[in-house]
Amino acid sequence: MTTQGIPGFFRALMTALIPTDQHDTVVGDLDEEFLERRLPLLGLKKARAWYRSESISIVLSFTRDQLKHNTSPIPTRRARTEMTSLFNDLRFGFRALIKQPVSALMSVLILAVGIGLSTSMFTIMYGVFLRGLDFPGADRLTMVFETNLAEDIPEQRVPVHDFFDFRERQSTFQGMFAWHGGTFNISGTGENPQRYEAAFVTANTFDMLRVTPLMGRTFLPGEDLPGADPVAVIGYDVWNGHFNGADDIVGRVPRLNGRPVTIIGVMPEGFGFPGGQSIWVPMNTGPSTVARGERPLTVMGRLKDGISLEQSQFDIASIARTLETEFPETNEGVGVRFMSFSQNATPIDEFGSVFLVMMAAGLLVLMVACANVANILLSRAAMRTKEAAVRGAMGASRFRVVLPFFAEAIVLAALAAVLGTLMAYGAVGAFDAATRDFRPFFIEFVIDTPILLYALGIAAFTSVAAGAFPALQVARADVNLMLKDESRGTSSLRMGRVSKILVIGEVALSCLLLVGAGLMAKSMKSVGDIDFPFNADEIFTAQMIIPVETYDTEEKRSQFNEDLLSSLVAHPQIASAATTSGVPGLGGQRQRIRLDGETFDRERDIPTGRRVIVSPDFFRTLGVANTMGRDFAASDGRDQAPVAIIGTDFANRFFPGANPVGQRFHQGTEENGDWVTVVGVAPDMGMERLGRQFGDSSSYYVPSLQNDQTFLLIVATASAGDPLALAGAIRETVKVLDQDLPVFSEELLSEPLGQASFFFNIFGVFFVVFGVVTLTMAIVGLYGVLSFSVSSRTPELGIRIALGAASGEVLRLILRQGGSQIVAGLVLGLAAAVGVTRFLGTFLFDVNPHDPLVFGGVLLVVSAVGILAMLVPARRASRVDPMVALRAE
Amino acid sequence: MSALGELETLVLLAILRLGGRTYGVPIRAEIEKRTGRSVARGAIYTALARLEKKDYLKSSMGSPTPTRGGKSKKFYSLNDTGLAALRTSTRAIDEMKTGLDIVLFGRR
Repeated sequence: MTTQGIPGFFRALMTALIPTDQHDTVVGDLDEEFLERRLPLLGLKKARAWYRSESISIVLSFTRDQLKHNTSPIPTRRARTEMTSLFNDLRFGFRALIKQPVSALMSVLILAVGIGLSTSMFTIMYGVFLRGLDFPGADRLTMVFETNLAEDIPEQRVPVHDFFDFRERQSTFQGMFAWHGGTFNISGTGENPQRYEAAFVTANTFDMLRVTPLMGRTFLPGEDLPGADPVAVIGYDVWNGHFNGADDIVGRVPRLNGRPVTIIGVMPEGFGFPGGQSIWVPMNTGPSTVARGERPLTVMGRLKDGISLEQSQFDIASIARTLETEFPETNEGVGVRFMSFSQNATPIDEFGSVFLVMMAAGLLVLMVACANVANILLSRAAMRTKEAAVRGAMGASRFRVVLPFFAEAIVLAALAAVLGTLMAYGAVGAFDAATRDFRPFFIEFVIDTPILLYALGIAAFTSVAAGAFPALQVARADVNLMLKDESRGTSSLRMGRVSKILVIGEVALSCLLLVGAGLMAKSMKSVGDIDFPFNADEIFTAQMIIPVETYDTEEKRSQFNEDLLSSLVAHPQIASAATTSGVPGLGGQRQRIRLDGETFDRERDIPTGRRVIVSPDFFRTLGVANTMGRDFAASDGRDQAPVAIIGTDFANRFFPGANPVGQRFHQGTEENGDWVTVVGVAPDMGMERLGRQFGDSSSYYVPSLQNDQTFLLIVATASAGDPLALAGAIRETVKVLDQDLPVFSEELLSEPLGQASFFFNIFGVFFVVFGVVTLTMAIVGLYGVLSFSVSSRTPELGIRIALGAASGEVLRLILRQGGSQIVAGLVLGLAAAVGVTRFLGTFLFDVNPHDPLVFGGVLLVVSAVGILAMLVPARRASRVDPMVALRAE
Repeated sequence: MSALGELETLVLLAILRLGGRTYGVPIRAEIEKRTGRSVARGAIYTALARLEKKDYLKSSMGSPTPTRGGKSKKFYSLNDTGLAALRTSTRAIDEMKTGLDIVLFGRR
């Protein structure tokens, strides 16, 4: 029980590799230290990482020691005879490889690259989808959502009333807990106010997750009831960042969104449940404070021991059915759906295809690698057919005949697995570092036991895949023919067709990957080339939240916005300033858009546009001129008719062929909402996030005086000098207005735009690497097969030349042989690419998945490179000296 | 009697400092604390194994505890040969450095 959390694989590794009289005590010592480290300060993740690296270093010490002192590393058991012969074969295979070090080294390298790439991809997949939460007994946690199939809602959060009913009536969970998100401005601490993401949680949340605080305590039962004293648990980053790691943090009373709250505990580093939050307060909304059907919560539960997921789902679903009859108005058609945390955090349908494509690409590279090595082994096997024939003639079983050929593949795969895993360590480390800042807190990219098992698995697969072809060829060969074959003694093995098929496959796969790489590269370029109608390097942005606790009416919030604007423009350093709810790259808020006379049966059929709330000077600050109509003015006030300025894309989509100025549309889903009149048209500015297709990019702008806002983005230009210097000016201005309000995410507008393109770049780079690696492999494969073919046909070519064939004819003969393989591979690969590239959809920014330029480019590159690979062996063939060739006969 | 390596000498001294009957974890901690340099765990264990093989150490097994995942501790203490070897080895060092304090440490 106390060994919980120890990486089992590494523990077993030590037991296996350290001499018997030592391993118990060493493992025991390490376990003991692990426990000390697992306790609060370091946390489980770090303790596990420590254990892994320590155990490897200990094993290495022992191995080195044994090599030096020349004792047997592992006390060997008495081997059974078949095993001895297998080991003999492996040893023999190893020796055979060493005799031809160049081809052996090449094979190992090729396989290692294949294993390395595919292991890296698996590590990333595993981290995103499978590892899940790293809490004790996390596999007993499940999320609970509601469904409403009648209204076609497959998954929605659980309203407060339903949650409390579930919690009271259920019998299959140890406990159910729930939360909703929010943000807090911390102030009153002597530091500048700062803003953090927060979660409002039920009091049992930490207990159910089975996490303990680094300091202080978490919530007690009852602290989430209305009227309880306000308390908060803070994250490690808040403690270190805002409070400078103060020892007396527990018991301090800072202001959160203006209200004094007592800090009762600090969570360990890395804890950010549920989505990277760093402040937790009890959620004191209960059935008494909201109406039934209101205020959706995210709900989780911890299953009782011995209760299965299905039993619990049945339990909750029956309660939902009872609620349906008790409260038909709100609960009609409401069902229940369980889901794991990681499944919910990284929905398969949004990112899944992305990672599945990457994973498939990784496996494709591995298959190309296998094909290559199979070819190399095949040509080696051809040299050894006689030996196999003799073995067969002496009565060896087919298994024993084939074994040596497999042995080579096993040795190669084992060496490649080690090297490939090392490569993956590097690649995964780099990916981990590159994504650290924006990935969910529970996702971690490390190589540990499951990853190593995967590497082991694909190494086994590799040795079978690479060894099977040569072994099958040998097994099928006719012993009599081979023994009679006096001439070359080596090459009567029919390897031609298999080799050719392998090369065709390689060419096809590299075409496929190169097309993917080409599309991704083009997409990267078009993201970089987006022409914005403003200069993102000149525009400074900062964000702030207006807390509804202190600014509790729309008037107060609107007044604050106006005060802010007038003091900003009065500042000498600021040339122009505006507030907005979104900037290019960060995205606007999706709204349903209906036109006059349009009706829809279902809400989800109503088209959407992206709404951005802006103050009057927004367009002027960005330096963007309207293409039609007018700009917002001070006259578009609270009591005036609602107006909007629409983007060109919005205009083309909703008012095609008409003059949009003066037209009306309706935003939101409520029947009786206001109609908004279009007063102007602005150029498109990329207000949508770059990650989406342009299809949903119809943005429109509404004036801040007519629309309520709790989130403000300030955009400003400097009157002179560095726009980044505005950070100070804006902070000062805000502090004068309200000293509790923090300003955050201060950056140039080019920053969010750059981050939005990061997604494309990182996956683009992956694809380009994959494509180049595969192409290299295909070239090596083609060259290898043709070289072998030329050398085994030397006598034949000699006779042809002796009989009068011109060297040009011989050259063409060989080129034709290789050329047909390249053509076949190209046709297959490009055809497959046409079918497959649509799965790249999400990655592609403004690029047609069947882009003719990319397809044409791949065709050219692969043909050109293929011809180069053929030329060397073909020229060698054309220069065969008939005398030399025939003398060898 | 073969000569002691530097790490072996440190390990033997650490066992003595820790009162004669001790195991891997504190031995390493003691060396790190006193010398201020970090020593790989593996090196400690291999040194202990070598010393035991050379018959400088006697060992006994403790009872298994749950904090150690059910594994026993192995306690080591010096026997007479070990003590003699340590004496020889440290005496050699002492003899060699007599009178060199001014060179080594800049003091008399």
